[in-house]
Amino acid sequence: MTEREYNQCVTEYADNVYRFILKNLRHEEDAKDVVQTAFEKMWRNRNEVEYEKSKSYLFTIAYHQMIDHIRKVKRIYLKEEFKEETRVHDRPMHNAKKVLEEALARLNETQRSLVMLKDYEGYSYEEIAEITGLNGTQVKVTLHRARLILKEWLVSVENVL
Amino acid sequence: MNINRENYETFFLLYLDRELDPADMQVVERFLNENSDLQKEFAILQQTVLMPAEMVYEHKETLFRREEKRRVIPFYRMRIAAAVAALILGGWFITTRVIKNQAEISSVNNPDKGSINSKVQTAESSKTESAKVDEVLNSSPAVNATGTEKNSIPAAKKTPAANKNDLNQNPRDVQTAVISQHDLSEDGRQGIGNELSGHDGQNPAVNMSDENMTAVQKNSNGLELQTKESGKGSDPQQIAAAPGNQAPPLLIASVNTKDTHQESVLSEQDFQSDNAVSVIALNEKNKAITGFFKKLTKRTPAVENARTVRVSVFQFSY
Repeated sequence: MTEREYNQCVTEYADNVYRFILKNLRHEEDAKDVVQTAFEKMWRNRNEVEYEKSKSYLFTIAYHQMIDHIRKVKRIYLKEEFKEETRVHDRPMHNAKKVLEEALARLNETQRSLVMLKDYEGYSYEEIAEITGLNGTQVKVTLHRARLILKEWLVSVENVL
Repeated sequence: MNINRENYETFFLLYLDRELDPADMQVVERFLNENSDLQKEFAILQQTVLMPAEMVYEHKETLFRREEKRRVIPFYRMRIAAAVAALILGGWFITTRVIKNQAEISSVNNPDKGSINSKVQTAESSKTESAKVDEVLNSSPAVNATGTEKNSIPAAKKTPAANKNDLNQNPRDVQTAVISQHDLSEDGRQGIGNELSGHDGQNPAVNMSDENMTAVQKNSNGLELQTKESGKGSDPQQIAAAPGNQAPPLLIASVNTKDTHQESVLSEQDFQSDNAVSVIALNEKNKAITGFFKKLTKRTPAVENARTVRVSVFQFSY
């Protein structure tokens, strides 16, 4: 990958990676740090990265960087989740989009990441498997389980409303 | 693909994940139409699909990178630079050495400005029977070298001024001066071989006549004959046979060891015979003159009846 190709990656994929990380971490500064670290690693390894695979490479780095970050701040993260869960039950859900975002918060990081990679980035099971280090079957099963969790959450909210 | 009410959920999820080919998607759609009670469940699953949300990473400029321009100096340039430096140093060293040598040579051989002096010391005169000096001045060096002694004898009797006039008539011609011709005793011959180029008056090499010492000196106007008279018999005699700043002269000398003055005519055969020695040297550094005289005296035949050594110095300008 050349300098020009790298900068092209920044232009094309920085927003996508940032969205993917921010939706998972829900913390803007942490998400920026992860994105910056991911691009920094890709820059250092640009000679080994093909431009055609640069997006997957970038998401792979960002994904693992995010997992490491989540493990470091897991306890704080769980506290925030608890507050959000409590808040969901306290107020009515009129916006399906916001309900879905709150439902995403109930997924673990792997399930959430798979849903995002599938829905936001449009990756196939095989591509998600490459990014996350899982195999295709694991991706399929995990993703279906995540969908069902979201479904149950949406159904339950509707029942409350 | 076999979809039924038992496994429809998986096919619904595969459909929503766009993991089915178009034909299978049509099968799922047909199944939904045939099972309308499952459409609500399919709609809920459809809501689990995240809608693309636009998010912008601000300050992308912090992520852009520019490769550092590293200046690579090829090693061969260093080698070339080293070679050039070595050549410059070598040239400087050789030049300084040459200049120094030339300065030393000129300081030794040119005590007088712009002249090359051939110094011949003569001292011993007591044992010489009668030193006779012939001056042979001719316009052609070849003639002098090959022995036109008879023609030169009258010229030897001329005054130096007369000789000078002769030279000035042919300033561009090769000038010849017979330095000395004298009889040598055996002791005298022994001295010749040692100190021809020395300055020590107590150990003279050649007993030169104090009557006439001529030299050919070339000045800017042409060749000029100079006569130096010795002050004392023991003082070394000097012959200035230098062209000054002109081209280095070609010196030819011959030695004859005939018994008598009349017989000392140099013939062509004498040049390579035991009785005569001739040496031709290019006098660029003046060292050639010294070497010439040494060789000359070494080859002086130790013949019992050898009484005369003729030393002729021919100066050629070219």
